[in-house]
Amino acid sequence: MTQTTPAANRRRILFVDDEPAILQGLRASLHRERKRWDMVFANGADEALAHMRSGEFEVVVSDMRMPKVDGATLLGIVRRDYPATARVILSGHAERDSIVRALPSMHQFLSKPCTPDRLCEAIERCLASPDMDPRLRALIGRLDRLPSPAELGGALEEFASRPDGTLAEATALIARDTAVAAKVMQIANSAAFGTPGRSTSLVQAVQFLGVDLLRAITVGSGLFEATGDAAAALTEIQGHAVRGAAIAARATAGTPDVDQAFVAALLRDVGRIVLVVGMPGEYRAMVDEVAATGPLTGARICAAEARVFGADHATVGATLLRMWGLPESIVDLVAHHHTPERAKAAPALIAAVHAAAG
Amino acid sequence: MKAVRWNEPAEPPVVERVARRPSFESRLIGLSAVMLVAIVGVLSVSFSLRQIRTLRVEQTDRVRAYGTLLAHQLRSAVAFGDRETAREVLDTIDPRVVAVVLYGDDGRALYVSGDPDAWTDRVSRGVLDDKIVRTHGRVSSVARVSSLEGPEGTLVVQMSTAATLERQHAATMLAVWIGLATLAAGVGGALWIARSFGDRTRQLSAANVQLVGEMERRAAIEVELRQAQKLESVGRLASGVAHEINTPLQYVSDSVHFVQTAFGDVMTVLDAHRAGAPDARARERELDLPFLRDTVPESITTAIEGIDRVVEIVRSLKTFAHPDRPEMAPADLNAAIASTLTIARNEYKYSADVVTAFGELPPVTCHLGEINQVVLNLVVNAAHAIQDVVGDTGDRGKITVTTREVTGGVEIDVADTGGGIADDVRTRIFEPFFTTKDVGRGTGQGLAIARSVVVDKHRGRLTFASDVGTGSTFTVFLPRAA
Repeated sequence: MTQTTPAANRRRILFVDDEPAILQGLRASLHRERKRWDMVFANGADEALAHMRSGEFEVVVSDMRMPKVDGATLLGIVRRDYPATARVILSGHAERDSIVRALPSMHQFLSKPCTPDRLCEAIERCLASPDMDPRLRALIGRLDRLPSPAELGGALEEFASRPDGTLAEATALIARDTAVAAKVMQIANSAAFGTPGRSTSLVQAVQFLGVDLLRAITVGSGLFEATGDAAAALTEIQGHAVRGAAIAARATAGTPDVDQAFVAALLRDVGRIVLVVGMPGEYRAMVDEVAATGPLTGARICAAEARVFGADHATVGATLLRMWGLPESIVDLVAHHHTPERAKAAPALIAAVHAAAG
Repeated sequence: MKAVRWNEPAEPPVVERVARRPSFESRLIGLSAVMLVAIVGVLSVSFSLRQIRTLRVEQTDRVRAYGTLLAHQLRSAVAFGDRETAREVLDTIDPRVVAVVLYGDDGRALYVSGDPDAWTDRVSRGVLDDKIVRTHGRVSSVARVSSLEGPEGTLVVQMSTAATLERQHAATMLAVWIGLATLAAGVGGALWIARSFGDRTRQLSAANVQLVGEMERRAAIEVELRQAQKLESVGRLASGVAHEINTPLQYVSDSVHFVQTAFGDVMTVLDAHRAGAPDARARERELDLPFLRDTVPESITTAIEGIDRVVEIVRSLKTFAHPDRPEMAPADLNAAIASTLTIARNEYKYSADVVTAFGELPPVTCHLGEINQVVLNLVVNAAHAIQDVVGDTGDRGKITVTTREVTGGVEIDVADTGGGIADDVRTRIFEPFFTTKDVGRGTGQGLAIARSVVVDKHRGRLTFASDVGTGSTFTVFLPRAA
């Protein structure tokens, strides 16, 4: 079912489903995007993997339940073999079991029926920052979760193992942890939960997920610990994030923006976590170099990151959160927390997050 | 292999608790003891009474004998009215004699000793003769003194009954005390027994109440479980049906969106042509007309097919969820089974193909909603059995649903190509809560409820044949009119 020859500047997208009518419907409804996208439609996982072997895709959109190899398994293989490829589930099964199963291998979860606009938007999110270094993209794509600092990971692990953990406890823990907060926001914003609109409030997201699902998310938090340089950096980033979130929340206290400001400030350095965990040695060397030549300001670090890695942590973080389906307003705040003049957000809001970045 | 079993209730069973109280045997021993006490008491009292009577007789005999003896000795004294002789005889009499009166022939007292009471007057009037008369504290013997010479006298001897009375009194008191003690023991024992029997009765009735409560609770739980199983299957069906509906909705939506866009694009180009716009041809090429020519009709067909599919599913759902009426009604089982298979499709479509071989069936009088539930349970079990065998290999099993008319009713076969039922669980598969499925996949109620519906409610049969490694066939027999 390959469609036309791939044009050099078109983005390659693979759709996988076991129902031919679904593929046919997608091909028809997405025909309008033909100039920008090179779309391939595969009937089942085997066909999909065959297509992937013959040429890389930027995005894979797969059904969840398919005979033999299901969507979660397929996306797991894609994650392992083609980490730079963004992975989206488009499933008719909207129950929580499905999403928990797909959780480690997917970036976004869409429910059938899904309008062409909604699908296009999800794909566009995965296609953002096209000129990013492939190595960095693979690093972002491969991440199914971010590491929590050791001491927080332990607390989360402990929470997960306790059957009587409450929502309030979970909220308190998650509000201190960039990694888990990002995951929680990702799931709460997945269409599987039928959220009316996108969720920008962490408290709301936590309530929406419920204790059981939070337990499933937090289990193993203590196992994925960064070591060495990364561990120290992670603890520092964490402290920075929590202090910043408090500052942002204070700055916007009493306004409707307070939730968004808090979440954005908490998540703003998610890109640094990606870089620190993915390339700990290089990141350490880069920071040392910046420190040796002048003050460690946000602007100088960003410039150095852009030079060394091809993108600064704000861009990396925004790319990750966008791929994970977080609301564009939060992605925007994270992307521009060092360059507030370029943000689309309300001045007061971006100012709060910028202030948090210190 | 997991067998989820019903947890024992936290409280010990009622029977055990009753058994820890005094046994019935110990109560019998108590009762016997009380009876023994009563018998001994009665015997003692009657002995005492006999003793009293004996004392009395002895006294009477003594006074009479004494009277007779004296009367004999006094004969001559009476004959001659000889007071001196009478005095001689009577002054030496037994000290127990408290009064003696001798009347002469003429009725006058020849001799009076002691303090004769009022009886003597009556004797003197000749009322009494050879009698024993009892008055307060005395017993009197009246004897005729007959002399050879002719004249006759009367002798009254009065003896004190004090000593005898004392002994009598002692015996009476003994009898009374024994009687009272026996009575007390009897009453106490009876009360104790009554109470302990009462206790036992209370315990038994409490146990009974508890048992009845327990049975009601179990019955309520069973109803709840049945409801829960129904809800569970409704829940899984709802999610399965949602998926079954969401899939066609996705392609209907895509197709219609596409047609909408395509029509808009075509109209724009048409307008450009009509207006004689210079770029009309270029825009037409842009449109990719050959693609539209192929895909628009295709999309319309797809949309219609999708809508038909949704309609079929919704209709099947309506048939399946046939509201249960209190009375049975004739039903077309083939149509019902077809609907059940449609809505259960999500359960089996990834692992098995379903083949139906429906025979001509007469209308069967049944609770259709419940029979649908039975068929659904059997089909879901068949699908699970096949999934356990094929796993993720991509292989597919086969579920064959056959119906046929047989003598007196109809039979429904649900056959699978799963792993069969292991010998050691065959006898248990109809037990409530027995399941070999993982937690969350089954409650162990499906077959138990199926049997209850088929056997208890419809007077039918639910049987199975199974070969390990080959598969199982469950057969439902329903009489035409239950």
